[in-house]
Amino acid sequence: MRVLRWTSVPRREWWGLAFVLPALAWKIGFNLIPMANAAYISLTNYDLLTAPRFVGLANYAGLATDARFKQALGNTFVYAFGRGVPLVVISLFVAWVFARTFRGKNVFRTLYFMPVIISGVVISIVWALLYDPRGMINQLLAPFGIGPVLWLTKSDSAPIAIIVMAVWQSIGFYMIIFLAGLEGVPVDFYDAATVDGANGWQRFWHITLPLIKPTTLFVLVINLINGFQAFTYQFVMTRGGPSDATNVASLLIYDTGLQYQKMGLASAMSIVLFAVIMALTLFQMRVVRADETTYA
Amino acid sequence: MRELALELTPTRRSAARVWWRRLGWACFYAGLSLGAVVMALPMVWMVTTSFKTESAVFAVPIQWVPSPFRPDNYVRAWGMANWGLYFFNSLFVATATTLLNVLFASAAGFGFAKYRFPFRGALFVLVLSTLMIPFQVIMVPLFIITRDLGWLNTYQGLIVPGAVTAFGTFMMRQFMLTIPDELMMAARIDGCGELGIFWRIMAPLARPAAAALAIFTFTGSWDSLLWPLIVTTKTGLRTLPLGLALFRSEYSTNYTAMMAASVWTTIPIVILFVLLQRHFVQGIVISGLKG
Repeated sequence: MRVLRWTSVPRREWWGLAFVLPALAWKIGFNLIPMANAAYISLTNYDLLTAPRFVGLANYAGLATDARFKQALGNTFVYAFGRGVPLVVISLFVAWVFARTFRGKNVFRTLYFMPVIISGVVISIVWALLYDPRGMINQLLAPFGIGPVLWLTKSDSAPIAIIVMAVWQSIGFYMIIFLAGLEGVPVDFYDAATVDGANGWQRFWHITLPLIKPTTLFVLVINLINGFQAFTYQFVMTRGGPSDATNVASLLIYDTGLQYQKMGLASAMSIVLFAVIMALTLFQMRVVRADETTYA
Repeated sequence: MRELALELTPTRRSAARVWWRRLGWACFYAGLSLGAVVMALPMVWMVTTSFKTESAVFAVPIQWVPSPFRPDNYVRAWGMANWGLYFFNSLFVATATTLLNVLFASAAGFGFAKYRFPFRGALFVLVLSTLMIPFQVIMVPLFIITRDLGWLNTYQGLIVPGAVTAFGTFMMRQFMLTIPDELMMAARIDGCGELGIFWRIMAPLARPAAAALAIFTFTGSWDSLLWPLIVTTKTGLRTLPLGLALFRSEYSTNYTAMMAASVWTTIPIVILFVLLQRHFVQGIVISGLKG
């Protein structure tokens, strides 16, 4: 009996395929086929009512001169980098502060983390009121002689207002990732530096930062990718306005495809957005590969 | 003030140095508290405002303790939309999505980790490649597919398309790789079938990873706005975030009701967080590494 088992090995291994099959079907049906469809639809004119009509690269050619799309893409870049860079700096700093032992640490860490768990819609609604001309933020700025600023109704301040809120919500998220990275820095390094007379700032600059540089680059790229997918804040707070100042790519795709039924044009926009995110992802994979020791 | 924990213990220290230390800690806590206030203030404002009168919302100076105190805002807001149904929809969709993801991602993770079938590597790469497809890129064709299936304005339309994630598969596979094969061998000798191995041996052992994945999937689904917005037009199928977003555009100046609705949308997630804080953090660390 025991010996015969070996002959049945290959047959048993097919069970693996059976276990994998549902997830595989899901990913093919709801991710890969739609991706291929997006590429195909982007070459057609399709309004859901009549059959798709092949138009070649006309949609892409149209996008090249589409001022609204270019602005949305520009807004998306500004949002992704405007949110991403401060977010990395601040969350790294906060993680560095939390990477030591002190009284009340858990309470403080929970407070800093709290915004992460709250729904983006709730955050948008609450902050829209905080940004009201009569709201809390203007009330706090008034003693400094600033304002009242029309945060969400002026096209120069609305993108900034959303970025500030977005940074605020996600500090705790990236703080946790940085904390995991900081745990990998051996304590001996700090002790040695302290004996050598390095102060806190020097220890941070010369020991911590070089050692968690891979984590930093990694966090920067994943949060840029997240930034490129922005939708909720802009949809709820400003609906892309005022005068398209916060109209980001996802919002424009949603409007073009699902509000105006221009499926071909919307898909072409999707593909362009995909190319941008893909370039970032490939960059990220190179960063991660350079850092296999940390993420192995 | 307490002494510094990280610091070396010197044999002698001048009184001046002690005072500098204490000043340093005072500044440390002052800075930390300032940050904590910035993080907490918007949420505190949300809660207090939900108890204010409409005219006190933008009162100068800010009313941190509402007077008059209006708990009946909640009753009024509850009557302004079908919140009970939105709650049910969110709970049902998030729970179903979570169950599907944990079940099928675990199964796939198990299959990829513990069996050697033809094209295993290629199929795994195929699943992982979908991690690189952002939802926004496929939302138009996904909408068309869902429509062709006749799933617009249905629960399956809300739940099924996004239910099983490549990230979950990846995460479960990584975890199952750490479980020794000997356990499976022993179970087979005892006459356990492959399904039994998965259900009775692997699933219980993979519980920590499954818990992190479950929380992650649940909160993601609970927060989701874009997909429910796309596949539903009927009021009866609105989830909480969608209901709240549309409530805001409908009653754009009813601030106190809006805050009350925001509070009850937040409460379930806060409860979940308080109960399962450890898994939340674990999930983020893993997701941060998902690539």
